[in-house]
Amino acid sequence: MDWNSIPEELLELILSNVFARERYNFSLVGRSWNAVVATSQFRISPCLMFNLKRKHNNAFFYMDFPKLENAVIRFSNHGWLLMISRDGKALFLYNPSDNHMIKLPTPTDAYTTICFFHLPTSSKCFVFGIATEMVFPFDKLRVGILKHGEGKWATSLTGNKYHAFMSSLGPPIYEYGLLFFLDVNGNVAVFNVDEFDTSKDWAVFIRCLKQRRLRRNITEHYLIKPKCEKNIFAVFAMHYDIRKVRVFRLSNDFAWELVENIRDMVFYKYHSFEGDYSSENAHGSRRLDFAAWTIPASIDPQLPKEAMTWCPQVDQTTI
Amino acid sequence: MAAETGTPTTLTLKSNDDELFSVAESAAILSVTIRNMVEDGCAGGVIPLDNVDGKTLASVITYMNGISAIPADEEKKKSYRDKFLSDKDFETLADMVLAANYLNMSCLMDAVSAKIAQVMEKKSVGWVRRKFGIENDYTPEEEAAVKEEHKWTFEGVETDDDN
Repeated sequence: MDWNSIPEELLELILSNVFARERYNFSLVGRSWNAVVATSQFRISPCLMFNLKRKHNNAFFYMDFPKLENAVIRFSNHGWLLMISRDGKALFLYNPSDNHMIKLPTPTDAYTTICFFHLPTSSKCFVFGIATEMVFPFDKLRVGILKHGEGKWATSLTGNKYHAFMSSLGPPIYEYGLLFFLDVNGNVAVFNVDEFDTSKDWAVFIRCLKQRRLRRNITEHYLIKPKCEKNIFAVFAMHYDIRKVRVFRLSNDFAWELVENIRDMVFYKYHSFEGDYSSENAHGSRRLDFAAWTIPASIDPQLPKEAMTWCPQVDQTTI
Repeated sequence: MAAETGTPTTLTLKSNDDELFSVAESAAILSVTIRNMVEDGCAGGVIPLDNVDGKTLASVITYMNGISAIPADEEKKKSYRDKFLSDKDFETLADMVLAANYLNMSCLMDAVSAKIAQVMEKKSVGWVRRKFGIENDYTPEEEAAVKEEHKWTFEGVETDDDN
């Protein structure tokens, strides 16, 4: 048969099964194949980004970013990575698909969780950090928020009676204007960004996991909000069987309900993994540190300069 | 020719090289093209399939019979499809995807496309061009531009490594 005259919809169907590097090859084969890639709804595929120097033994595509060697990925969203230098002095947003970088004011606190929501070039974007207070009696949470266009972090101390919330590395879910956090005991906390630094900004729900035995045995815990689902999910690993994970769904009254079968969903979770990528195919992924799933933003050379400027008064700290 | 319920009806399909095949209507209507013909009452005599040769049609009919014998169990159907395609060479797969497209059999199209995509795994562009017999119609400038646009998926990737 002649592949030069193959119907476009068949090529597109084949393309939908092609990932990362093979997709790149696909567009280089010839004009007609590239035309299919350019118009395909599968044009932008999620990629696993990580910035370790050594190579990994998996089939993922990778890319070297020599200038990012001294920084770690803390979070990823909208194709952008939130990164911090290893010395903790420089915080910046980086888009690996077009090399754009936005330098951010460095927070005064070392946050356990740091994340951002909305596209970094949008005026709605904000960066959020949270940490359990490190000073006796550890009954406060340090919270910081940096909004697009503001030159410095706004910070506040929030009460954390009886250590109800023990913050962890897992990034929150941003939904209905609220940030949902999962703590090391499976408790869920909700932060209302619009009520920042008021008495109404923070609420902790405890014993969301009903069985005490489960709560005490959590070793890893992640929140995820699959696009196709309206509930928030959590994935827990328990220390008595680390190879087994349990998936729960958050009920309307903040209780974790065990999910027996997640059907054809695959959750990719690591501390900085972008939360909402799921697929039928796990692509042989293994555990990776400092990695993030990122969905490359479409290439837009017309990006206005001012969109990239968060706060002109930031000093030019180099990384 | 509208069959009474419960009575198995047999259709006769003719390939473009004039081979005749008998197939149960219940299996043949996996093809939306054939189903439409049956529903329009054009399936009385021989159904000519002008875009499919005998060898490919024989394969497709094997698939139709095999998959329609499996009750509604997506797992089992999938494993049948995997097994069915596992011994097919590239040429056969290519013919089959075109036939599936012509016959409008989405489950076969999906499975064969995935299989063809697998063929490209870890192969260089040149290899794909040779295998698919596609001529490189890019000018060097165009090729450079496409490379540039997809740079982020390219830098640091070795051509055929997987260590």
